[in-house]
Amino acid sequence: MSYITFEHVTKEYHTGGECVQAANDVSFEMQKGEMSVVLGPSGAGKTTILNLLGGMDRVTSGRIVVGDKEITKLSGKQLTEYRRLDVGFVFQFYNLMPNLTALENVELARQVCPNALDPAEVLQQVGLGERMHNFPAQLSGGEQQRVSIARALCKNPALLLCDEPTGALDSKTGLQVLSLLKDVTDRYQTTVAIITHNAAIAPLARRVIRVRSGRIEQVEINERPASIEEIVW
Amino acid sequence: MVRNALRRKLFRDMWQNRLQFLAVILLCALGSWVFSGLDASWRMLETSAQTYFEEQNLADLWITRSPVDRNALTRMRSVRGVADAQARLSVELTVDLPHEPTLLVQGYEEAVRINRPLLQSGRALLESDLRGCLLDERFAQANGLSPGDRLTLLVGGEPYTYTIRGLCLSAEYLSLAKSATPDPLNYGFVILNAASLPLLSPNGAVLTLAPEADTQAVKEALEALYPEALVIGRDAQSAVKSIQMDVDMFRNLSYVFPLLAFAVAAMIVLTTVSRMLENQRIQMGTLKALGYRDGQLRRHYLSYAFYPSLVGSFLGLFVGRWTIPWVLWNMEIARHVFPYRLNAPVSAAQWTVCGLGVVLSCLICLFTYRNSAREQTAALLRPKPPRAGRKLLLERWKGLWRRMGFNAKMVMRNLMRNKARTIMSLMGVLCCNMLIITSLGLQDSVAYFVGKYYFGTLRYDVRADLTQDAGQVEAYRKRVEAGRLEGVMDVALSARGNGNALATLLTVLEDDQRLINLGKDETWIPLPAHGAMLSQKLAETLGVKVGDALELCVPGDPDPLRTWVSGIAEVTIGQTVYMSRSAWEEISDAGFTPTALLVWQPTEEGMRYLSDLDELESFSYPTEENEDTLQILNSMMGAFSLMSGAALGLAFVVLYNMGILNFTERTREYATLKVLGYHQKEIRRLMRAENNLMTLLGVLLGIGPGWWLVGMVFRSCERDNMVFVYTVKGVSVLVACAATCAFSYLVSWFLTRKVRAIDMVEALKSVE
Repeated sequence: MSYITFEHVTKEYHTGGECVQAANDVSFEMQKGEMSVVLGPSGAGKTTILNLLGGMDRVTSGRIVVGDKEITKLSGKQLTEYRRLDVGFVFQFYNLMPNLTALENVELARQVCPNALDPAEVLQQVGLGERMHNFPAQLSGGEQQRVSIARALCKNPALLLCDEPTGALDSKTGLQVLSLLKDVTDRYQTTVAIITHNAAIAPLARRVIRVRSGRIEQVEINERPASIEEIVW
Repeated sequence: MVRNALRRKLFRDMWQNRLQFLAVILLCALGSWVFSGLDASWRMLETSAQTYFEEQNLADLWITRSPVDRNALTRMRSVRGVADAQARLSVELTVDLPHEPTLLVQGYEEAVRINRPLLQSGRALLESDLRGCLLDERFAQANGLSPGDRLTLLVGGEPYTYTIRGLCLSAEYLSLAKSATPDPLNYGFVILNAASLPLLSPNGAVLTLAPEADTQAVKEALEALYPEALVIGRDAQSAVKSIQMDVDMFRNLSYVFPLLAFAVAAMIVLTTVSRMLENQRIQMGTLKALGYRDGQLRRHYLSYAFYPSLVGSFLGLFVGRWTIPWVLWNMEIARHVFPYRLNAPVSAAQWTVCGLGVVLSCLICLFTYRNSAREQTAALLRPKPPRAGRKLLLERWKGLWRRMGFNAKMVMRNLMRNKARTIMSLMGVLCCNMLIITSLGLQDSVAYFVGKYYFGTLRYDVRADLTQDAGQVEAYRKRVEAGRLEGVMDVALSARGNGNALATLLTVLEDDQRLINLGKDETWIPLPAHGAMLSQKLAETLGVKVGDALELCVPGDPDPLRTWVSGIAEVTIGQTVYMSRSAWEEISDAGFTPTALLVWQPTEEGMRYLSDLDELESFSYPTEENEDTLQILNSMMGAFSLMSGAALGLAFVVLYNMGILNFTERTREYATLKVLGYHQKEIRRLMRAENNLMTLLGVLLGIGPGWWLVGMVFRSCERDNMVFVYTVKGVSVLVACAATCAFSYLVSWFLTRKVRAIDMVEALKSVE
């Protein structure tokens, strides 16, 4: 049985009398402990899928099941609980609190999560042991993204959602970040979903979901995901 | 084309930021509202009074001396500078009505030229009409009299009956009251021909001066001519003085309070406008990149401040001119009888303050714009690099920092990140608390210093005023059953010292008097056996100190009595000369005949005896007089309440505006927290923690300045017969603090409600 199931999910936005279908009859599955990539050009509906999966938005119709929870049926409060306990987010622009140090940013996540990991240890693992008392402005983009990943990991989530995690980084730093994400999947058996428009990342994932114009175009399974060294862009 | 597109952008920007534009409009409006309102109020009062005085040809000088015959009038007229003089008879007579009201009778020998009555109904009084009179309209209304009715006056027990020809108002008696408050049922004035009262002869004169005459010189010439006469100018006449005091008070208030409101408003405009421009940074860069010239952009962004401040300032100006004068006028007419109300045109000061609001806002805007415009276009196109977090000084104190909760740390960091904003919020709360304390404190102070006099200085329970037929004090003491009874003699005279003169009251007290406390903080001190004690305010007005010479000029006595100042009486109300009986008898041979008896703890029997006395004129009770005096100060209290209202309005706009700015700035952070799984409640708690800390600090810091401001404002309204001693009750401070907290809480409640509306998807979008 798959860990994540999207069944005929449709999301419509109404703006000024016009109806835009951001997701149209989307169905796919993801397995536990697997790294998946949702790939598509901008405007294809990737972010909508991520928002729905992350419990930040509600479907117009269809079902989404994560583990044993049907999140399309959760109340607002239950959705917050879901985000709090089950989901870790990595943002394209890191979204760190500028006036908190790296360590404190990670502690921010621990605050709300009962079975959180030790923030300092997680930072050590993402390679920022030396810099944990620095403020975001004193860190490079890659380092900031690593803090953001540490913040997500600290909650020990079952599901890690990454929205263009390499979008604001150069290729070398981007690869470091991806490598980190891959390690995490292996070490913690976390289910990772990466949203990207960068096709070069796709070979890394076991499952590649291609999206275009709000529809699923194709779902590929890589029997042998590539290693970081094989990736170039 | 270019201009139109820009203009369209301007209007759309305004619409998008309508709340902030509205805040700027409101703040500018508030600043000019209070000023223009108070400024218009005192000008309205002054114009209305002056016009009334001129229209009715109010006298410039009043002379009390007897007799004033044809000869004396001729001599007065020949004094340089005198335009006209009229003799008249002034006497208080009892009306033959069941409740025995008193009328101040003005009998003229010719047609009334000076202090002309303003006829309200009926017809005028002819010079030859010996059976008619013109009656005070208020008195007539209170007593149900109308033209054609009869009015009987008692002169030495003899009835003189007149027909009321008409009802009138008099500029001279704009404020007519026997004690402190007008009582039209029992006291009024009546105008008739002196010839109809043959037993009484004119005992005074009223004079008008030529336009270029020097009032003081004429006054001195008249005093030289009649040393025994009491000559008073307009500045000492009760109606003119009463109006003038109110005018001065509103004028003084119009400088103090609005200045503060204005300062706060300017501060907020500064933050709001600079915030709006910062938000426009990338757009500014884009426009520059498109090739817009600097001048065009400057004009465009200047409009951000210009239009809202223009609208706000003028809105405030005109709303202020309608509202505040209207409120204050309604309080004025409780004590003053005006035939009409005249609005003064918009004064230069009002235009200036209005213009100042606009100019200041534009300057602030220009300054911010220049800060941005100095940067390279390319730099403008990039978002401003986020402010680096910094270690706080507090963190050096490891022990404390480690003990603080995570939320506390976050709050501290947030507060320290944008210091300017934090200080502004703090100032907002501080000013709010300060202004509320001030307005409550002012109300406390009025009650306090009036009470100090009537309940602290005056120790007696009742004062019985006696007519001229009073006997010796010793006799009363024997017959009236009371805890204590003392006689006082009040003499109206003019006091001269240090080159200044003032018409005032001499109160001669018994040597061993115990019923009036003249010491510091209402303690009893013995009266000096020689010389005179002056009340604080009188000493201040004359500019004399202990040891200085003092002359007392009793009307009817050509030679002034010479004495010296042997003490200052610390009383808060009255310009009074106090003397002991023996000191008085030392300098005068007029003797001591009581004009009033002060009685402490009278028995019922004693009171009955007093009220049966033929020579009893009236009773007065300190408790009642306290109320009456508070009544006089009512218009001042009204002005203070108005200020409180404005203070609250200001506080709300300030707090809300600061909160909103803070909130929009952090929306992204809150959205991130939401995505991280923070419950709305937790985010709200975090926001509130910050707000609570600010509020607490602001409230505490506002107490001191509030206290100080009470003193400053209060002293600036001081009347010339009262020493304004100020105080702030503990309760008032508590109430003010509680109100500020409640206010701040309300604002934060409004703001935290917005957390619900934060779109989490926002957090994922790129930085804009």
